[in-house]
Amino acid sequence: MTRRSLEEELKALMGEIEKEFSIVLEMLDRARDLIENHTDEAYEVIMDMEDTINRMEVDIESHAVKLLALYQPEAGDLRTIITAIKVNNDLERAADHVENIARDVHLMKRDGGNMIVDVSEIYEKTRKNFQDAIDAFLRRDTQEAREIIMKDSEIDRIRDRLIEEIVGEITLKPEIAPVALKALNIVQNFERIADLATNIAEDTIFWVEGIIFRHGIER
Amino acid sequence: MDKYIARVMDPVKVEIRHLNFYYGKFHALKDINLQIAEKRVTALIGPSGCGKTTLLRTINRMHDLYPGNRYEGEILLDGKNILDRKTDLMELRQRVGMVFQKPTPFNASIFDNVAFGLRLKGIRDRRELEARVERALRDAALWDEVKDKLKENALSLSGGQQQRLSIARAIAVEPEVLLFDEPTSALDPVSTAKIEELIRSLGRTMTVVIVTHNMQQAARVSDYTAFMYFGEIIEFNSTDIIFTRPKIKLTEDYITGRFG
Repeated sequence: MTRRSLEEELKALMGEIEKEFSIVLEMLDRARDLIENHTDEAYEVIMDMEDTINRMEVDIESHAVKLLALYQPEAGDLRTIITAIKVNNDLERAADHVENIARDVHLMKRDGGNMIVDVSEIYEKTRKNFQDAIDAFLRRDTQEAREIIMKDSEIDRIRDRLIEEIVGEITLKPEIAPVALKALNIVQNFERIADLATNIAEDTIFWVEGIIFRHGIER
Repeated sequence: MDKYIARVMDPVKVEIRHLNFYYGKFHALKDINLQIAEKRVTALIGPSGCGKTTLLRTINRMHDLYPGNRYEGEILLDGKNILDRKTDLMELRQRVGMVFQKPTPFNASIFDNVAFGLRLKGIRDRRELEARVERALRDAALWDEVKDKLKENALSLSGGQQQRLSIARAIAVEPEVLLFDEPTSALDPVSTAKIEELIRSLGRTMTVVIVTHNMQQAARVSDYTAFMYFGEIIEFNSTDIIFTRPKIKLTEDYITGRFG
């Protein structure tokens, strides 16, 4: 391929991130469907998508490293590449968590088990935060990004409540422990995905404003 | 000395084989083996006196203008050895153009500067001359700035414009290979950025070789990079490999500024 300007390269890099976003979001939706209607094929599709994300992560990181080495970017251009590296990593980890959810659902259903708690609320809130984080990132909307960061504690509370329910079920019926532990993992993984949505919102603030906004610290 | 010379992944336009070059008794280029990819940008980098400009000037036999110089080996342009005694140097330099470090406008109008090579080629038709001058100026990203003053003296242009005019003159005769010898070392950052963009875009339609002191420039514009040291090519590879994971320590030391 012949050489492109940095501007064209950055546009292409962000285009790759956008594609990665849409695949992870679709994985999340498919994981939710898998809880309701499990089939081996639906499970395999999620596994294949995770492979795609792994390959994309390596491609995007290698692209970003090349741009750092070849163009010596500064200011906003430098932040764009650093943000791409961070968001790329967040998305790959989000895909890993979706894979974990799918695997636990698959094993649970294979062994004839069912979800012992209702995860629709944690899924809905996580998905909304994730979608909002993507939208804020693509629109470079730091106001929206700050709101997403505030919402993370709400999902933490839902997780805590669900864990209490699961522990209660195990106490009452110890024989369901194997299924209950998978349910626990699923809940924990949804919450981790919501955390990554928060990370993406923080990355958006860094990208647009150049401010490192993390753990309540602004610098 | 450790060396790593990769083969190019694109069609080869110029192949240099076992080239040695002497300025009188001084052995300036030592057993150079290098492939130059067609319609790509190849950069030659290295410390002062390493032979990069000497190597560049062998590709259109510029050294023949001075007595006492001697070549050994082969430089194949589309498979034909240009070091052959029978090579028509006029024809060679039309096929292999050159842009120098300092802009080289003639004391003549902007139009005549660009039309110079075309007239040498025997083109006399006014309409054809005008069309080709305009195309060259557009390709050199200068047209919009000079279209209303083509009859003005080229010396009235700024340094950056004069360099783009030199490029327009070189590309007007539609060379297959264009050699750049530190084309931006006399220019300010804005003009430099324009010339770099131009080199990237020319590299899509013609074979470009650029010598630069500025490593970052090589990184920004080229597809392939050769690192030279004391008349030898130490490492040659695609530019992204040279600047992200060079195979030879000397190359890494040079590009990271830890030389010596």
